[in-house]
Amino acid sequence: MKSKLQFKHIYVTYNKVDAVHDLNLEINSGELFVLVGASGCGKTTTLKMVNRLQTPTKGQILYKNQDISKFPLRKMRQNIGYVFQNIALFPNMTILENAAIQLRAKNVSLSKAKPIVTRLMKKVGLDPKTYLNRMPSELSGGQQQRVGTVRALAADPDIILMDEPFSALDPISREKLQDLVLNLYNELHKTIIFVTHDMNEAIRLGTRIGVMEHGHLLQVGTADDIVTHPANKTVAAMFHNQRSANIADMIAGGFYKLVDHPNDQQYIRVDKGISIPQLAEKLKSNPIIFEGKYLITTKDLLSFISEN
Amino acid sequence: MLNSIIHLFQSQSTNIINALEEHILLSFVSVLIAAVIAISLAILFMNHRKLGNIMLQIAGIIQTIPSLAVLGALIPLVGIGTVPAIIALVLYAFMPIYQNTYSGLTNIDPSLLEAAESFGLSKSFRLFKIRLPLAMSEILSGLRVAMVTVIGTATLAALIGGGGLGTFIMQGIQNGNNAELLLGAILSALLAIVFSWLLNELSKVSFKKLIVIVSAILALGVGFFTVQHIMQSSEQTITVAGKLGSEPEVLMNMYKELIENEDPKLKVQTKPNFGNTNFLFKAIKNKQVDIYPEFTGTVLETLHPQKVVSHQPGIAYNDAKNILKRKDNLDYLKPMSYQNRYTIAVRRGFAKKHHLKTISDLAKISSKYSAAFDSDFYQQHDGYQGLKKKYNLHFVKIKVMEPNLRYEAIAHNQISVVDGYTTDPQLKADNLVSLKDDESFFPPYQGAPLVNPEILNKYPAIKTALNKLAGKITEKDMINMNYEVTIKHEKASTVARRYLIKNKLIKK
Repeated sequence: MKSKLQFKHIYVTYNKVDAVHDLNLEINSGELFVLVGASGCGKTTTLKMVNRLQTPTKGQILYKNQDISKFPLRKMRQNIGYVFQNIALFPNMTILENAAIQLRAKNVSLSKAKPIVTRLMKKVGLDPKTYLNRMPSELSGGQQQRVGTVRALAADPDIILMDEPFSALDPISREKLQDLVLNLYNELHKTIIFVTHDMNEAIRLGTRIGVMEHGHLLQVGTADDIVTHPANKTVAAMFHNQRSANIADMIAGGFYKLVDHPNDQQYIRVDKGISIPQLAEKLKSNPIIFEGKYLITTKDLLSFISEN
Repeated sequence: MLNSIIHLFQSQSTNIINALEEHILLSFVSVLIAAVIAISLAILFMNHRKLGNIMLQIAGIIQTIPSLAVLGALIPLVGIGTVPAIIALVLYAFMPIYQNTYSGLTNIDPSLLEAAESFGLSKSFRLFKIRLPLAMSEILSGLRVAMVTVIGTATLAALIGGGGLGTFIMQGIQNGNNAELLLGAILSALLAIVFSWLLNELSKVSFKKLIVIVSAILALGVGFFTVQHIMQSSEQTITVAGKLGSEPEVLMNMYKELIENEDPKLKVQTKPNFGNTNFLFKAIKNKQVDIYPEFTGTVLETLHPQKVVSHQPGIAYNDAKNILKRKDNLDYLKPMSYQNRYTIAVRRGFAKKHHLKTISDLAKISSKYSAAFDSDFYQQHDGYQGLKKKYNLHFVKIKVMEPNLRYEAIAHNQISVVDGYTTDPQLKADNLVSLKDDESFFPPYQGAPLVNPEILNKYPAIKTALNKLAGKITEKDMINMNYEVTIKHEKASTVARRYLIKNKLIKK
């Protein structure tokens, strides 16, 4: 895959303290890249450098091998979608006006923007007829962030930045919106950079994950890589909870049978490390086979849970 | 009280409507100018916190300067009338508008501003579609505060000839007419409430409609002023003004009638209740006013105080005329007959009973009766203190009272002797007689038109017209006319015209 966005020796320094320290990172085109870490680790600062809300103190960011600081600022930003932690819909505008705002920045009239917004509203599960003319305050937090997502997609940007978009939502809305992001990602294959402090969310969403702490990028890899081969103790500690809830732990604990008939059609095949809840979801329909040889049944799962 | 207010309403409706119009215009124009300046500055400084806060401090300091001081400070710079009034009001309206606009524009949720920036919106889009609409409710509440403050403060405009409802308040204070005072106060309070309500209603309207409404009002206002300006400038206008009160207003109207009668091409604009002596005198020197009636006594005692003032009216007039020509290059035309000076008055019946015609007559019996005097008159050397020595007066008791109360006291027989002015309408209303100053103690106060000489050179007809009043109007005439305007609430213009026709000074 062609590398699209490159961070080269990036430093951001406030009052002689590095908020970001020697960051080197490549994010590929069409990737859902998650930056994860505790608050203050520099992940949002990193995100904001992509659309130049934040300027690096030192270093260079390249997009398609060109220095982004050379791009005309407004034009560049018009091609980057943004979903905000506190949603930030404009309270004085209708849902339609809010969702169409980046299109209007690109001089698309509201009437031309309307069909685009309407299509996207349907995609995120909001009835356009009901909602387009409402004000943001009339919507629930989850609905508002769906609009926030529509707003980020409407101008068909190359990159979408998502800054802890679901952290303010209740767990049920959060999960639904995570599904929505996954669906949209699978359908549209935009480059998404997603910032979160929630390791679960990172594992659930990220094609690759970058782990940050105190301005340092500790590890970059797939969820599997990071959970199974943490680069250091810090990363291991951060993902400890995720580790304990992994299918690999069941195998390690012996909660399985070896498969007699691996080609049996009734089994669900799983090759990737999945979490216990994901496993439970799948077991509702059929027993599964992990990595072609371990057979796991509902009974195995129950024994694992009861013993842990 | 209520009855007299209602009566005032009926008899003075044109004046009230004029004053209301002036007041609204004055307030509205001031708030509008202040809004344009304050909102522009707030926008200019919204991204420069330091400058913005410095401006806020300055606005706060301006707000603490007493309004009278501001008006006083403005007179040498811009003279008197509407202009300084508007400048002062703009200064007062500035702070609430600026403060609210600035806080409205800068206290917007920073994440919204960041969002606006992130989507690559233009500066003008961010300002007009996001920042201003979000700040609008605060801006409007600032405008509301400004409007209410200005409507209240605008009553002071009357002090410097700016007109408006303050005229009634000033006149009320001057004449001791509480109904008039209340009328002015109530109307300005009502006006403040109405405007406050209107602005509150406006805050419920969407931003777009608001812009449309404001531009419509602006366009109408500009149109109105342009039309007015064009109409005014097409004619030769002469400005006649007068101090507070009915007497100057009657005289002004006489001047107007006489001039327009003499030369129909001339147009005279009257500015009644143009403030006190000093304001008016400055105005005529600055050529904002062309003509106003002034008293010889005022010239010699107040405007250019003389050590010795002749008690001969003719000499006093000539002195005044020469001083005005020499020091101010103003022409003082021929005086009228009557004098408006201090006098001592008693009830008609009392005078008859004791055969009183002069103050000397009164001196003989003064030790048996009590008097009530206005405090200024009582304290001054050219008032009671001097009079006492000259005539050897010894009253049983002297009460110092408000001018209006002492008339009430004598009307109700509680007191026998009062001071007053020779043309006070109360002399007629309360059936009093004024005693002759047979020893010529009081300096003469003869009224005559004070005129800007340029206008006389340009339009010689004016001199002819005004001199028709020379030697005319007796004290009795003036008391009657003051009575008709102040007590009967007739229009000054009607009263003036009636006198001129009756005395064949103009043709009907």
